[in-house]
Amino acid sequence: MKTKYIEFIHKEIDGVISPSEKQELDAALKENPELQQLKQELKHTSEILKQVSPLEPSPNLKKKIINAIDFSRYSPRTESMDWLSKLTGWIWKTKFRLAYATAAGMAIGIVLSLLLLRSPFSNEPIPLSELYGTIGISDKNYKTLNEFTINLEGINGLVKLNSYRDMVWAELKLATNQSSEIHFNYNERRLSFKAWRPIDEGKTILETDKNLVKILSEKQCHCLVLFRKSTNNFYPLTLHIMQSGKTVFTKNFSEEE
Amino acid sequence: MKEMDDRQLVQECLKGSKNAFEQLVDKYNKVIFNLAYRMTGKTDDAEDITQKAFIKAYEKLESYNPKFEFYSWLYRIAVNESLNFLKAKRKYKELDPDMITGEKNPEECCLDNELGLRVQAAIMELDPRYRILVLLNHFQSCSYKEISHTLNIPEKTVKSRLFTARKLLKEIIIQKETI
Repeated sequence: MKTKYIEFIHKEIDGVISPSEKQELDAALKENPELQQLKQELKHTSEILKQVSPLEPSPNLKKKIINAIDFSRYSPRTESMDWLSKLTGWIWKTKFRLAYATAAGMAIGIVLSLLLLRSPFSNEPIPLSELYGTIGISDKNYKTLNEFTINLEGINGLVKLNSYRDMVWAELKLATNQSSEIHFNYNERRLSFKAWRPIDEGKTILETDKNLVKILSEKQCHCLVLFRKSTNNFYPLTLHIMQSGKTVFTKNFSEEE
Repeated sequence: MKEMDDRQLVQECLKGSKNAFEQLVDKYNKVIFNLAYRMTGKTDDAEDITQKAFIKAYEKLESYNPKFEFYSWLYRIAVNESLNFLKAKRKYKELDPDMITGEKNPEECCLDNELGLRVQAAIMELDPRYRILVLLNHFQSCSYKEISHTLNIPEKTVKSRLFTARKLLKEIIIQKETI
C-alpha cells in the first residue's frame, strides 16, 4: 500500500486534502480494497472520537485555582510603570525636553540606587517561584532556620523553615496514614500570610483565619506555606498536626534554634 | 460591557486585574481539565494539573507572546504539566506498583459515559507522545500548525506522529475490541 495514499486518507479525515489529492485518492481506492478498508477503519475511529462528550469539572475548580494564585505579583510594578509613563508623556510635550530628560534621568538614578540599597524589609514582592527550588540562591540572605524529620506512628516526613530577605516559608513533605489538619499559628503583628503552594500530587486544601493557616491534607502533603516578616524577630510560630480532632504533633519554632 | 479578547485580558492581568484572570480561568478551565483528564484518565489528577497549569500561566504571563493565540500557549503549559505528571507517576509506580491502581472511582464512572470510558481506555494505551496528538487534534480541534506551536515540534513531525497515533488507536480499538 503506497504511503502517499495513506497520507491522503489522513488528510481527508482532517479536512485538509486538496482537490487533486482527493481525485488521486479516489482513483486509487477504486482499485485497492485494502486501501478502502483502511480508510473505513480510520474514519470509524475518528467518528468514535467525535461522539465522546466533554466532562464537566467539579464546580469548585475555578475557586480552587483562584485561591491558589498570589495576585499581588503584578500590581505594584504596574503602578510604578503607570507613574513613569505619565511622567515621560508630560516631559516630551514641553519645549524644555533636555532639562526634563536630565531631571528624569537623575530621578531614575536615585530610585535605582535606593532599590539597590533597599532594606531587607522593603515591600517589594519577591517572585515566589524563586523561593522553591532555591539551589540557585547563593546569597547570604537565604537561610534554613530549622529542619527536622517527624517519625511518629502514622506520620513521617520532613519540615523545613527557610528565610529569604523578608520572606519566611515552611516546606512540608509529609506522609500520614489518615487525613490530617496541619495548623500554623503565628503572630499577625510579626508575620503576614502571603501564599500557599501545593507541590506534589497529594490532595491538600487551604483554609485561613486570623493568626492561623490551616491545611487539610489527605495521606500525602508536599507544600510551601509562605509568610512575610514585619520584624526581624517574627516568632512565635507554631506547627500543630492534628488527626481525628486530636493534636498528635506540636513544634514551637524559636529564635534560639 | 464589551467582552475583551484573550490578549486584552492578559494585558489587564499584567496591570494587576484579578477579574481579568478569573475570566480566562472561566473560559478555559473546562478545556484544560478535559485535556488533562484525557491524558491521565483520572478526574482528581486532571483537576490538580488544571490548577497547576493556571498557576504557572499566571506566573509566566509576562512571557506570553501576543503574536500567538493565548489558548495555544495555555495548552502548551497544560501539556507539559500532564507529561511531567505522567513521568512522576511512572517513577512512583516503579517504586511501588500497589500504590496506584488506575481504577476509577464511582464519581468518575458517573461523569463519563460508557463510550467515553471505552475510548479513554483505548487512548490510555497509547504512548503519551502519541496520546497528546490525538487529544489536540480530535478533542481540541487544533490544526497541524496549532499543534506544532503548542508542542514546539515541526509541522511535518506533527503529521507523521498524528498519523501513527491514529493508526495505533485504530488497531487498539479493532484488535482488542474495546469499542
